[in-house]
Order: sequence, then structure tokens, then C-alpha cells
Amino acid sequence: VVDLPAARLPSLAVRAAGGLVGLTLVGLLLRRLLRRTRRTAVVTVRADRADVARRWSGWSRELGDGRLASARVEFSDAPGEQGTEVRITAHVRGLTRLPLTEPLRRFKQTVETGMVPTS
Amino acid sequence: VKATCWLAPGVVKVREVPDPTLLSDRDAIVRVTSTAICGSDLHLYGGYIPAMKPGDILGHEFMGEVVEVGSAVRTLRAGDRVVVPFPIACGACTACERELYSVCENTNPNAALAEKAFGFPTAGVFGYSHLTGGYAGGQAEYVRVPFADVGPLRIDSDLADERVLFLSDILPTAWMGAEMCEIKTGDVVAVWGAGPVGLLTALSAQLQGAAKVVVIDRFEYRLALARAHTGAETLNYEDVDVNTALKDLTGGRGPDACIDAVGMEAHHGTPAIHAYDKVKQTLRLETERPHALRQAITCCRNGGVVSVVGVYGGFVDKFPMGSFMNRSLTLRGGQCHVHRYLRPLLARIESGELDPTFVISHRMPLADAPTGYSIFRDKRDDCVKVVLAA
Repeated sequence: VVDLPAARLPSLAVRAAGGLVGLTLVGLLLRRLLRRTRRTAVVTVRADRADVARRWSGWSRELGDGRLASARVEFSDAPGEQGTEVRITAHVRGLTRLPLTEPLRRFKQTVETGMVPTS
Repeated sequence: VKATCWLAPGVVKVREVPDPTLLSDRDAIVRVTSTAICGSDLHLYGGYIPAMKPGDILGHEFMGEVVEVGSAVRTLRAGDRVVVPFPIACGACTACERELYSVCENTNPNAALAEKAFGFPTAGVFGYSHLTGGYAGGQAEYVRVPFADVGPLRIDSDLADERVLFLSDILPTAWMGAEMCEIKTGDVVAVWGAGPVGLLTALSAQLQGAAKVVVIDRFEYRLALARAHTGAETLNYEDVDVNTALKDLTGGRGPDACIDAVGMEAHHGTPAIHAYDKVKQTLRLETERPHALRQAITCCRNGGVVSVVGVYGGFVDKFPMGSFMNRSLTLRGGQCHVHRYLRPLLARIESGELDPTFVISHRMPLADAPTGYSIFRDKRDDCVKVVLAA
């Protein structure tokens, strides 16, 4: 039996609580780093589905981002003959950045106007 | 080439900048012959619009002569005289198909930035911050015009620049402001602001059939212009209680439509209230001083329309939501879809029905643009509208 002086008990309790908080934070961080996150982005392109799908395959290769090229892409008709909805879904691990919206926006610009506008 | 550059809030200078070049086969280069300072340029000048960078070239109201076109531009050729709309539209997206050109889905290279600010991006605009794309403006000797096969209107007649220059912005903006009110026979329309857009809005409302138009401002020289050129009655809000006066002019009903042609830097007749909002705006606790908008809402008759063409950039405080909702008002607004109005308004100018030149108070060379900004902001020398000849 260890005989602890009563005066040291509060200090030990504080240290134990601090350690517990620290371990919890590390755990949360690790979980965040290791977790696979689902990211999605969608855009409507004013062109028919077959044309959009055909142009997407060339476009995604041009991007040169393997992760994007391997993302799941779905094409569906937009309501009211507004064109084609392009929905892209990718899974990334932890804090990895994978921009989806901007490539989609550039794709839409290219299909609809023939270029990516610059200022 | 020489261009009017924004350097910091309250500081613009005319500087030498690199010559604009074709960046796409749908571009054109235009030699600017006339350009104007817009009331909304003063929001940039004052530092109220975010995402400006030192050196940005100002100006979204301009016209000139085409000197070079990209290979895909079939509608223009060198030597053509053109007026250029301030929104840049692709002509191919769903918004353009619906003639909502100022919300074109493709022409804003900084769409992500605008999306953060507004929820969805808006079109690119010449010389109006990086929020609208960071395009170089037309207060310059030369300017690059993207999507030149969609926007510029060729002027084939020999009408002077001044007669057609305002097709680039303020005339269509004014027309749209009135049009959004869906004016019917017998309607009374109140217009807040007797600046260039307010004056042309009053004129547009008359032409669209309003029985009576009332213009509200505090500068007597501007109200005199409204009376002389638009047939409107006027109210000086420093002399009268606007709500009471409008009720008096409308048999107690209130105007059928109220148009805010003032926007984010409105002045309040009560100094304490004006100071309150100015302090909040300066501290960025709100981005606007919406006095005109608040008053337009509370003065409008039950079931009426409030049309907003004055420019707002962010968030307003103390918006009279209770009045708006409980009295069945309709609120409409928008940056002008200029392309939609170019030809019909040009026809009215050519026929002599419309002459917007009465708003011009100052003509000066491009080199004097800083002076133009200063006197326009301070309303010195009875300034209403400054036109710069490049």
C-alpha cells in the first residue's frame, strides 16, 4: 500500500484528468487522419447525356489527377431538358484535399463555351 | 496604354499598364472612345466592395472601336463601333438562354469566391473587383472584351457616343428597374435617388406608363433635373417626412411600386441614424447602409412591388421583414441583364423617344479620372454624371 499524503491527491487528480484529455484528443486526431471521407460535387451541363459522358472521359484524363480520374462519375438527365447532371463521388483519407467543384466548373465551361474563361 | 487604376480606398490614378491582348479566340480588343464613371464605381472607390487589389483597372461603362478580334468572333470586325454591356455573358448557359445575362454561369473566373459571398456565383463584370472575375475595366485607352461574339452591340448609325454610351449600363439598368414593377395604367411609382440611374429610372417609368412618378433625394440640383427631364414630382427628404408626403400624393394608398436606385451607401435624413449605420458599416458590423431600401419597403402600398437596382454587396441590418411579409409586398432586384435591352433601347434612342444625355454634368479627358471620381463622390460642382473621353 502506497501511503500518499492527502495534500498530493488534488495534484494527481489534475494530472490524470489532463492525461485523459490528451489521449482523447490524440485519438480523435488519429481517427480523423485515418477515416475515409466521402466527397461529392455536382454540376448541370447544358448538353445531352451522351455528349457530356464522351467529353468527360477525355477531360478527366487531361486533368492528370489519378484520384479524380478514379472517382465515380454519374450522368443523368436534368429535369426540364436543362441538360445533364454530372455527379462525382470520391473517397479520400483523412485531411487529403481533393478539389471537386472547380474541375467540374471548368468542365462545364469547356463544354458550354469551348474554353475556360480567364481575366 | 493608360488606364484608371484603383490603388486603395479613396485613391485612383491613371497609370501606364500593359497593352491588353487576345486571350481567347472569342475575345476582341476595343479602343475606348468614351467611358463613364458609374455610381457603383463609387462603392469601389470608397472601399465598400470586397476583393479589390491595388492596380485593378476600373470601368464598366464604355464604348469604342474594335481594333482586333479573335478567330471565332464572326459578328464583329476591326473598325466596328460598339457599346459593350457591363456583364460578361457566354450566351450558351441556361442563365443566358433565359436572358439572365448578369448571372451567366460561365464567365466568372473567380466563381468560387463569389459562391462563398452570395451562395451562387454571378457573371463576370468589367472592372468590378475580383468577386466578379477580376476583369480589367474600360476606363482605359484599350480594353479586352471577352465573349465579344455575345455582348457588344454594333452602332451603325452616326449617333454621338454620348447618346448611346449609357446602353452599357445605366439606361438598361434604369429600364429594368421600372420593368420589374410591372407598371399598370394609373400606377404611382416612387424612385429613391436622383442620381443618373434614378433619373433614368423615373424617365423609364414614365415611358412604361406610370401615371405619376415621384423622385426622392436631398440634392436640389438633382431634383430639379428630375422635374425638368422626367416629368416627375420630387420630394426632398431633408424637408419632408417621406412616408407622410407619399401618402399625401397617393390619396393615402402609398405608391404602387417603389424603386431603390440608391443602394449600399444611402444617406439618412436624421444625422444620428445616419451616423449609427455609418459606424456599423465602417466597423463591418453590416456591409450596407440600407436607408433607402428600408424606406421604400415601408412606404410601398399593401401588395405593391419594391424594385432594387441600387447595388448591394453583402448584408443589411434592420431589414423591415415584418412590413415586407405582413403587407404582401413583392421584392425584386438584380444586376441588369443588359444584353436583353440593348436593341430595344437603341431603337428608342434612334427614334428620338429616349435621350439619356441630360444626366451628363461633366466631360473630361481620361487623364482627369481621379478628379472625376472625387467630385462625383463629394457631389461637388453639381455633379451628376462624369463622362471620360479616352
